[in-house]
Amino acid sequence: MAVAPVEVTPGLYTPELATVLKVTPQTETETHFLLRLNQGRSLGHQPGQFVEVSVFGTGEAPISITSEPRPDDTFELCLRRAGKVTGALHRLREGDVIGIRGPFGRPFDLEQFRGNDVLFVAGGLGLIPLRSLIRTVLADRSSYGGVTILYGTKQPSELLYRDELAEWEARDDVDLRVTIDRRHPDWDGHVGVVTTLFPEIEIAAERTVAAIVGPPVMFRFTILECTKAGIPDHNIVLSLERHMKCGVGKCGHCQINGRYVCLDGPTFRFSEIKRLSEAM
Amino acid sequence: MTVGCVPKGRLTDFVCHICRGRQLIGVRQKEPGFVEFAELDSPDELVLDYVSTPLPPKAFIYPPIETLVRMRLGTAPQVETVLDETPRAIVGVHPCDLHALAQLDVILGDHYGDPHYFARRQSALLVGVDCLPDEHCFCGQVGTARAEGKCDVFLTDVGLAYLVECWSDEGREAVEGFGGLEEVTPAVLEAARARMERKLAGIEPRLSAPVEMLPMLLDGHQKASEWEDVAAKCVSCGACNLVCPTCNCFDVYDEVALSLTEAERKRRWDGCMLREFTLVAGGEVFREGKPDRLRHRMQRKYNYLYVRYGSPFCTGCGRCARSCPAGIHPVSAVNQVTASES
Amino acid sequence: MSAKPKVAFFSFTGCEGCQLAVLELEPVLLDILGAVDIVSFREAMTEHSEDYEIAFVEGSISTPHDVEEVQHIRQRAGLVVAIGACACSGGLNALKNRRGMDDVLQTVYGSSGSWFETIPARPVSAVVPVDLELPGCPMDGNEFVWAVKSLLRGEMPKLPQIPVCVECRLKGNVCVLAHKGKHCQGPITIAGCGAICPSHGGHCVGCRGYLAHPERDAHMEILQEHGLTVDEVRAQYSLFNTYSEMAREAAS
Repeated sequence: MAVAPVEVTPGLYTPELATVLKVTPQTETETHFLLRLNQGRSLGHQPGQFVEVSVFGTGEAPISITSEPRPDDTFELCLRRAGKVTGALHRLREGDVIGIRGPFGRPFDLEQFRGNDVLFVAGGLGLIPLRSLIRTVLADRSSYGGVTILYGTKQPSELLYRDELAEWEARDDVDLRVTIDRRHPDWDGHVGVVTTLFPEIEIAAERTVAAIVGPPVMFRFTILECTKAGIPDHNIVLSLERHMKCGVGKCGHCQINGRYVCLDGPTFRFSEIKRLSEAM
Repeated sequence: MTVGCVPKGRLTDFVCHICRGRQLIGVRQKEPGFVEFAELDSPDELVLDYVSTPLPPKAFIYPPIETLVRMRLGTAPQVETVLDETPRAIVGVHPCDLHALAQLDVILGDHYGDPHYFARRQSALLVGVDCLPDEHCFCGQVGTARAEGKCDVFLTDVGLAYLVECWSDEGREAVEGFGGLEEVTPAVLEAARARMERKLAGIEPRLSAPVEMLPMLLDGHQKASEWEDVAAKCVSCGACNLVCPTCNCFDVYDEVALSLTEAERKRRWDGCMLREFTLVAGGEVFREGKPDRLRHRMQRKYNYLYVRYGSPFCTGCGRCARSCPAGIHPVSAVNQVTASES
Repeated sequence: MSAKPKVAFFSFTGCEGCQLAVLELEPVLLDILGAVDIVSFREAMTEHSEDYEIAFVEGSISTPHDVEEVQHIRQRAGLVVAIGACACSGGLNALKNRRGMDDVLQTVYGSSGSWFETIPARPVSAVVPVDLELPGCPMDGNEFVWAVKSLLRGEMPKLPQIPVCVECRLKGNVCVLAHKGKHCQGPITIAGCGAICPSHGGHCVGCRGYLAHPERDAHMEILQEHGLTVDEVRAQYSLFNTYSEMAREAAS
């Protein structure tokens, strides 16, 4: 009492049940899951959002949604085995039931991309959240200008979604370029970090929006390349990763300076965060 | 609304009356020289004339450890939200701690209303009491010395009696029917006014700039190196976070029963001064050094959340200073850093 | 791991208080016995089997025979869990390490000293790889149960790197260092004991070992302000942690 009226979210921390429909190993450490909520409702997410995934009794972890919004109520996650929860997730089999909260976070602003050339730059696991946006753009291809996808990993064995990469490669309305950090016997393609692909592409700065996801060091150098190409800061869009423990702006773990990655992000325009000392 | 005076001799009866049907939480003696908020066995234990408690009364609205969800494990798992709507009366809350709850309402109500917090919050009757500062208190510097409207019933020590004010309908209902109230005389009002004056005059720690200036001033001090001196003696124990009435950060974990068929998802207060706070699965720690962590804590209290929600997220209660093994006082820290060239 | 893993308890140099800590878990002891198959446990049973998956090892390694035996255990066990300060950090036993071993034998056994063999006391991990350490003098029963539950679920428990102060503050205790101005090792010691000593009128003596990133210099400065000399602070740090303190001194 003596409390201002507040709209309470009843099951804020209570996961909904979801069933694993399909498990597809991607690499030695990454696995892709097809899921559906047991309640029969659609997850209702947009590209760039994440969910909190529960393995009951083990814990909860924030995971990017890698699928595009679609009518059949299924959604996809892809994750690396890194901690306790993701380790347990990797032991899941088809038919297993897990918990889902969300979707959470500010999605990519599709309006910003529509009608423009889109430059996707993914480093390592960055392809996972970016894939949702790429597939959304490709599903409505005519609404966008040129589509360029730059993707780099350390080694060939770390490349995700090889089948889809081949599909994108085969399309004549997509310019896909893949690179591997260092020379490797299993690789005869481009070698060098992802920014070494920039000299090979043409960027019409005034009508290009770049979407970049990758590790912190990759952000710094990729932003530099985009800026050099003349893309304004507000048209460079990033998705940041922190430990979004609660997903709803309460637990404090994902705060970077005054921003909560879970509420204000994870997608940010570079212009919004360039002055934040903790962003990169 | 002023409703009357309770002679000190009838305080126990008054507390019994207004807290009827509720679990009684109040301040009691903990050990020589220290008091604490606790569930009281009897209103006789209640101490109203005190300076501070190790933990704020927040602990009874947002407990240090609480169960959020009960889970049945196995191939067909089940989940159940756990809410605590026990009617409580929390008696003896100082204005700073009342402000703190109002600030928690804002952050825990923003975007998504935290159901576990608001279940307890909305079930609690808050009885405030005025106070006099010690050398660590600085409520007068951050605008929290008075708490009008922030509790249901408020008591002011006016010598032989307590002046009773009701600031909500629930407060009025609670007091209604108590036969022992005496009339409020001009002398009582004068005593209450004089007491507030004495309180404000007794506050020693002084911010070198008005609190409204702090967001702007602190914006210029984002480098860890500028916080090295004030953080030098910090032991990273997290005490300042854990005793803070406005700190809301928490950690979440699952606790499995030995049967391995059931589990509880719990949350526990966490603190940004602890190194593990920003640890991510890959092993990276985003605020590795203690100057970075102290900077974050101070920026959060006097800049980030101030800008975001319109009031500083510090109530000047002084608990962090009293609990800091290194003796770091937030006012000195802010003064020292903002005084330096950015 | 099978439904009911076979578990054995072993004891080296120590007081066997950690085995007692397990027996003191009376309210949940039957549940534990239901979940695992204990094949060896000197404090509680006479039978012994060499067939076990998890070995809980108590005590420090302080004789050549200890070394051989713990190597044998390591070979047989899938998981080796060190329990208690002696097994995790060398514990109080390592206090002798600052003296010559002959001197130690002479002091303890007098002229019969030559009948015994002793080596500087060391944690189990100094001799064989250890999968998990549950520190403390004695080991915390609740933490033991927590670890057993994790292991039964096939998960390796990980002790959070947070100081004892966290648990102490959450309990609403009056701070030994800040409020009472006395000495306490809470800020640099790994939590997990529920701050049991400060909660009962004492202070933290560091029996659980120190954090991976302790704020040692700052802590030392505070203790000195509270009236301890540098040597007295070092003596405090050495109470349960002589083994790591000596390694630290050797490295610097």
